[in-house]
Amino acid sequence: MVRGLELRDLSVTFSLPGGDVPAVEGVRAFFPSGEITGLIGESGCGKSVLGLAILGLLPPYAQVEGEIILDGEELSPGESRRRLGTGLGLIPQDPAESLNPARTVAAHLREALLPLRLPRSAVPERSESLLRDFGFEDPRPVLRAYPHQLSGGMQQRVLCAIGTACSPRWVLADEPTKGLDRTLRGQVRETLLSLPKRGVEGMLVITHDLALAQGLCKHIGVMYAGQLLELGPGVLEEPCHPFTRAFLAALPENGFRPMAGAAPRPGDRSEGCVFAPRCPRAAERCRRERPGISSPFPGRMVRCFLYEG
Amino acid sequence: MRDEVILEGRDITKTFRGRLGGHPRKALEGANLRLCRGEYLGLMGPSGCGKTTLARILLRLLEPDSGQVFFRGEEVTRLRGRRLLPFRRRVQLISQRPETFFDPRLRLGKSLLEPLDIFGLPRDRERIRAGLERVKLPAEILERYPHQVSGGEIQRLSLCRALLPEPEVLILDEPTSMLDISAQAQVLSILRELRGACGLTCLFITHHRETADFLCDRVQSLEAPGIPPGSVL
Repeated sequence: MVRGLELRDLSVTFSLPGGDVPAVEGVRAFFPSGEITGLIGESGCGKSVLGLAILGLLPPYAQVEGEIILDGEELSPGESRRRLGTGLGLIPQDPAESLNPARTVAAHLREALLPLRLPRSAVPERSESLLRDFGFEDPRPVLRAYPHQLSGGMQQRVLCAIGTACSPRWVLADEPTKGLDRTLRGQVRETLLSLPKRGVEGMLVITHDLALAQGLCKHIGVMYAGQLLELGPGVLEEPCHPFTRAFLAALPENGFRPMAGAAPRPGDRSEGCVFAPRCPRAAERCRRERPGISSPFPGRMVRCFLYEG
Repeated sequence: MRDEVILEGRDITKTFRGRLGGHPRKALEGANLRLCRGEYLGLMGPSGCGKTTLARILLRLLEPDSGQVFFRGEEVTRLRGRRLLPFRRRVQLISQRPETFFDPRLRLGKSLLEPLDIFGLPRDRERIRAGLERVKLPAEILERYPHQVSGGEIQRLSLCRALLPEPEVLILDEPTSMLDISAQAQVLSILRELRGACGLTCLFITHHRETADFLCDRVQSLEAPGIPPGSVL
């Protein structure tokens, strides 16, 4: 058995008063253990929903179909939640929303360390050491602080410390560098890179920060409108799917060239390829049929007719 | 015209009390900044060094402990209440959290009327249509609510909202830091186009050197002489 996290035709649909809204559609992927996999794509394309589905943290009105398999064992939402902390760790996005405004950082860390059942006297030292790992040279005043007393960057680093407090086997980091300056982004990157030494076997990093993805991840998955369009090593260096190419054209080194058109709104689903309305290489067939998975070369998966056969 | 100073902060000092166990924290000490008409100035510096504090003081959203702010040569630091309205109209803010500019209970079209009402301007549909065109958004977006648009769209709407009262200066506080690269490129290309079309003056706060280089004529660092860094957390 190859160790890793496998998704088999994973779909997530939100049942809302206005109708069903598909957020993730038929994702088939394998994220190997011992690697950091990056998941990139435009905002709202379903990256975070996919991550929350893996962790079993979606709200009750989300219908999840397909299978999530970790090291050969299927994870139900309940099983994923049971493993949170020591088995699966989450570094959530949006620090301002994720921290409790009425609790100090020390209280947050105390709660995060509960699964380890440490003696009470060991908790402060462990909390300080965690904060030091994430760049707080003097952790004591930070432990006493409430979230509103910290800058956005500090809040983000506190969340990283909480998510990895119990040295989980798999970590899902959702935009861990969002809104941070270059120095702090570098610090978070170094910390994430150091996690495998602390028992973390695999990591899925959802990010808009392609420099982080490039420096951190061997495998990259590219999502668009709820679908995984491309996955494999070297995606940023050698993109295949027209969406990946257009997405990378917006990078600073490529001149900030914006992509034409707009992403489909949630619930807008055409018959054909989800990217066809914006694709410079779309043919008639792309608007009629949904492409299956092709493999242009070993290790790469692409959902595009251009690479069929 | 290019050398005319339009917005200036002189010798600005600000200390916050009560952060991290009640110890006062010096955010700015003797900060100076000069923005010339038509210029795009980038302001960079590490997290917590006082970039946002300086921007909020220049916008007159925060009182400095000492120092002055001048707009077109007039000191605005002492202005209060309605006397600030003309200044407010001419100096607008774009934030990294554009959703906070829109009432979640109002359709976006209604929210866009707010600046026109506040500054006593006519509710001119044509002005709104032209504003949306400038930020490359379709008119149908006006019927939606804030939660029904993407991060890039709401940032472009906040740009449209800020431009409706015809400001002379835009202060952009990390406007693209929460956006994906695709939405970032859209916002940056619009800001670049605006420069030619409206002759705007911009103070652009960013963490990204590449972004500042793409958009700005010059970049000032908070560590640079004249703007000493505050106590960095």
